Amino acid sequence: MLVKPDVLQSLRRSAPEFAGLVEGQLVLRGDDGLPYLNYLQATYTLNKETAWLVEYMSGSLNVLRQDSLKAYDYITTDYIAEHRRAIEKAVETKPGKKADPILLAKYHSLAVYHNKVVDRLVRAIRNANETFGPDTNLDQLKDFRLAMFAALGRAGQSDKVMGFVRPKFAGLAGGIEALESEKIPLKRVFAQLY
Amino acid sequence: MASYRTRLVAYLDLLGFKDRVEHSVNNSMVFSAIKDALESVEAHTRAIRTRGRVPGVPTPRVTTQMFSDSISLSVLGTGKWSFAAMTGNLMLLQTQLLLKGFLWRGALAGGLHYEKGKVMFGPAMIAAVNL
Repeated sequence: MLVKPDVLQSLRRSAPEFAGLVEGQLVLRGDDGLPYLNYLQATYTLNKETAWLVEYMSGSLNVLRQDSLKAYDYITTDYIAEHRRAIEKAVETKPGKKADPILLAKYHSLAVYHNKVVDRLVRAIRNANETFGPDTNLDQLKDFRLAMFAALGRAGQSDKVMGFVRPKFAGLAGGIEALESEKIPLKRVFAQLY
Repeated sequence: MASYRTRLVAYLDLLGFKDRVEHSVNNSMVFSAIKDALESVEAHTRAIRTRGRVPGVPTPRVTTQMFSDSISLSVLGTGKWSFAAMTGNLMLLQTQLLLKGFLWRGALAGGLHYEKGKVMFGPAMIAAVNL
């Protein structure tokens, strides 16, 4: 999903702080310099943050109804795996048949993006997990924009929030190997291009 | 008098659609997969219309239109709330389509756009289609 550069320029003028958050996280730049929507990583982190928030708010505080975030119900934890499967299935060919090279090139760039996101997520999870210490501030976890948790922290629930979030990141860190295994083996899947 | 307004406009098309439609003629499973995916876009459109607002947070309404494998989304304004609403909806839509086995490509542009009911046109849409 390409983003026309003037959309970002307009955002920088009207909301510079917000634009700073968007660029480098929600919007990345390709090798050609064109900005594009980093939907895969953004959806993954939104999924985690939303699921944790619902669990925190409905479980320990009981102030948020579980169904108030129903719009997010269909975001699954297997999102990265689904993305990989969709790409690999799209380029599958019958034995002896060759794929359309133009179509193959489109999916190849998508697969390169997929692998880039897995690398970024692995780095982000390692950083987040290693960042935790006695003085950790939720605002520091920049790759996971835990905005609502940070607000709860500022509202005086910092210890409680940290006690809740810390094991979540430890759990994610424990799943890094599984996450890395969702990278697409480009040379095998796109053998025709190599 | 009706006129253009400044909006963010996204244009998407589903990858591999032509091949699937060809297969769907003799394969009812492929037919159902296409139908399910496009109906999920329609369901998403309905969900946008009925979704509740978060108190204190401006949530500009994103509209969705669809024709075959072409989908467009638009939202009034190009500021941060419009951008957040648009990208949030794009991510939800992406997820829904992905879970039905579809990937898409597209572009997001900002500029002048007219939209009322099923009628829409303008420089922002042209820019999104051409990007």
